[in-house]
Amino acid sequence: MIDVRNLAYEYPEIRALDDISLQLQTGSITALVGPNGAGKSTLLRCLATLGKPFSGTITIDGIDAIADPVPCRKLLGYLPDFFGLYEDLTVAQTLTYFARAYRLDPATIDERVREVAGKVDLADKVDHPNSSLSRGMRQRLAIGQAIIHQPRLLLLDEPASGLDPEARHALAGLFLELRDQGITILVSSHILAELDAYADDLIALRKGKLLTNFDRQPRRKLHFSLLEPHPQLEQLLSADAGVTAFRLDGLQAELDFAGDENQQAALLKALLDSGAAISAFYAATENLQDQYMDLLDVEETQP
Amino acid sequence: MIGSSNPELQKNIWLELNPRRLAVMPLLLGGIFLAVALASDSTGEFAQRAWKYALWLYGFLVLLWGTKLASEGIAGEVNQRTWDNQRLTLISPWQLALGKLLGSTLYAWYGGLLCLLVFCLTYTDFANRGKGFKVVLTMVMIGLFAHALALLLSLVGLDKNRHRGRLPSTFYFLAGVVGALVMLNASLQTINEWGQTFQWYFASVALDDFTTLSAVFFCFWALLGLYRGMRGEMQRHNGPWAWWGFAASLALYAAGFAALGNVSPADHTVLGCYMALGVVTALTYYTAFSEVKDLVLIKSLGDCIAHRQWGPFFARAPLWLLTLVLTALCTLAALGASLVASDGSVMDQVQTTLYPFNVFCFLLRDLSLLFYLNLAANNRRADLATLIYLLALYGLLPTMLAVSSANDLLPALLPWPTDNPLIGTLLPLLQFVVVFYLLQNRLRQRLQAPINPIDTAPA
Repeated sequence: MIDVRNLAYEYPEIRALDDISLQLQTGSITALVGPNGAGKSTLLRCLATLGKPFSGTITIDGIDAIADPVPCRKLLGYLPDFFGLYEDLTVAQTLTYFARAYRLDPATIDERVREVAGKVDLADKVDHPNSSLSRGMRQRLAIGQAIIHQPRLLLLDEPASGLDPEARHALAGLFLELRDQGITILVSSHILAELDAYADDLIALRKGKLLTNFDRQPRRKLHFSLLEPHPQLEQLLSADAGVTAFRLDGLQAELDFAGDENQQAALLKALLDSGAAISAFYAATENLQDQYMDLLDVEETQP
Repeated sequence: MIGSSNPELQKNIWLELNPRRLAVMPLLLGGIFLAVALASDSTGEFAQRAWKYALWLYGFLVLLWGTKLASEGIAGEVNQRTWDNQRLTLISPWQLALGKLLGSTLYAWYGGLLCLLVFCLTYTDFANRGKGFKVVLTMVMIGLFAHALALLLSLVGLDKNRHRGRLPSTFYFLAGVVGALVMLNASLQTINEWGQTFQWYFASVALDDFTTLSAVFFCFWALLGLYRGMRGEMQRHNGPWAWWGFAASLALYAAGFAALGNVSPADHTVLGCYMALGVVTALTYYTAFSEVKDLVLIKSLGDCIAHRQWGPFFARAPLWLLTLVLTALCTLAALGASLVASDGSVMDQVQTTLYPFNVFCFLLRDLSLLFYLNLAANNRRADLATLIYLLALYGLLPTMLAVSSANDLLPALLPWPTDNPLIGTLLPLLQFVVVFYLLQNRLRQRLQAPINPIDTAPA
């Protein structure tokens, strides 16, 4: 859906994006993470055809988004981090305005407005002025105006900031629903736990550089505690094909495990057969936070 | 419905017009004209007063209040953070330009058109009914010009303020009002001197026709500029031709006034070239100060030149650079015209011939200084600093020379005609070379300096 090659964006004396190359697959939700000032918003603005990069290419669905941004705009919806609404318009007027601005068939606009208002849970507020909406409602309306023209790509910059847990949960549900409809979503957020609920892929930026872009295959982690030290433990773990890495800390062990359930059972059996006095054992799936922190560790250890 | 083909206009109709507001305006104006009627002794006296009041009220509503609303048309969107959403839509630049031009000022126009209706109804004292039509047309054009100018300048300013996240509107309001007042002053003068003619180029032109056509001329360029500004905001490429067309037509428009001073055809040509040079020089200064002057743009232009990508180069080229090309051409034209026209002594010839070149040297020096300060590491108020330096160069130093009885040296600091090319030409040229050398060094240092990775994103 998106193919970015060697993208660079500069502010005077500052390179905000440095040699970014990435691809997003159609119908995926990709989390864009990184510390403040990493270049996330700049990248999203470039992809939204709002900022002209210094060099590099952006192709959206086969269209050169830098040379020919207008056709791309039909395909994309964008929610900036700090967005505004027309305070004196009603919800219906706002959605109608954007439906018309995106040149939807006039005969279908009323129906589409009702549909989107329902989708963002504002059906009972359509005649209310935007100024009367709560923070969460405003956020949902902004998403509504970004999806009114049925874009195939949705770019969301910190969409859940300032929302309460219930509103965040509802938002996650909406993103999954949109993804199931085939919309590709790129969403930036600081709240990694929230992204965990719906992100398929992860892109991490730091100081304008891309740390990684990969299919999110979360690693399984096995943890166990021993009652007493076990001299053969290290040898056993090294020999197991499913264990990709392990860390031992006194009587605690943490394993990165790539095997399936059967291999996990076999490992546990082998440990018990070797005489290991295991007092606790549990498996956990690595979350986005772990993945991100691992990426940062890798980055810091690299020269 | 009027806004059915333009979503931006439709939005503004929703925002600006409601039954209460629609009723208030005619009631208010009706009250004012009723008071005028009560204060008049006869129908004739009322008509005489009413059309004047109608024009004044039109001026207040459309030229003053409407320009204020227009200046906030884009600034308001930027400050409310709705501008990017508009830029992303498929609204065409024309739709957005007209939607903002007519939409953001809709209520002011509602009142203004009611005033013009009163003007038409009460303007009965003149034998020539065509005069009323011309006045109405001129007033409408002045209103559109003022609003388009305020919107256009705010678009130009937006580029410079984009990373600040806020766009103040006061300057654009004042610029629009000043533009309107200049044209309004000419129009009111025309009403007083109706039927008179004057010399423009080699033709005798009716003042009223000229004023009306001038208003149409300026309105046309302001609208075209607004359209192209919108195109730029929507990331569409603009070529250089429209700007060159505007600057050249403005220079030609101004050159026509050289005939006002009963001069010979040869002198008319020289004077016309000088007036054209003055116009394009002023445009170069204005655009240079109002546009972005950062390293990214310079590198981007350098990149285009290195790869011989002339299309992207002219699409990105700042207006000051485009205007500078015209200024150079006008300088050459003025030099040529002076050379042909001069029939005095050799020194006289040198004086008149080299003067345009002297002016060009001062312009190049000032532009170099402007860029030198803008490329400094701390350039927060570089434009203001340049203005202060220029004030010292053009004001303080010449004053010091004058009080020191060194008037002969004044042409070294001011574009002042002189018969001494050493002082009048060589010294300004030397100043340009020195400042340009400094600029070149600074530019090289900046280009060679490592670019910092981002740590803190601009707001």
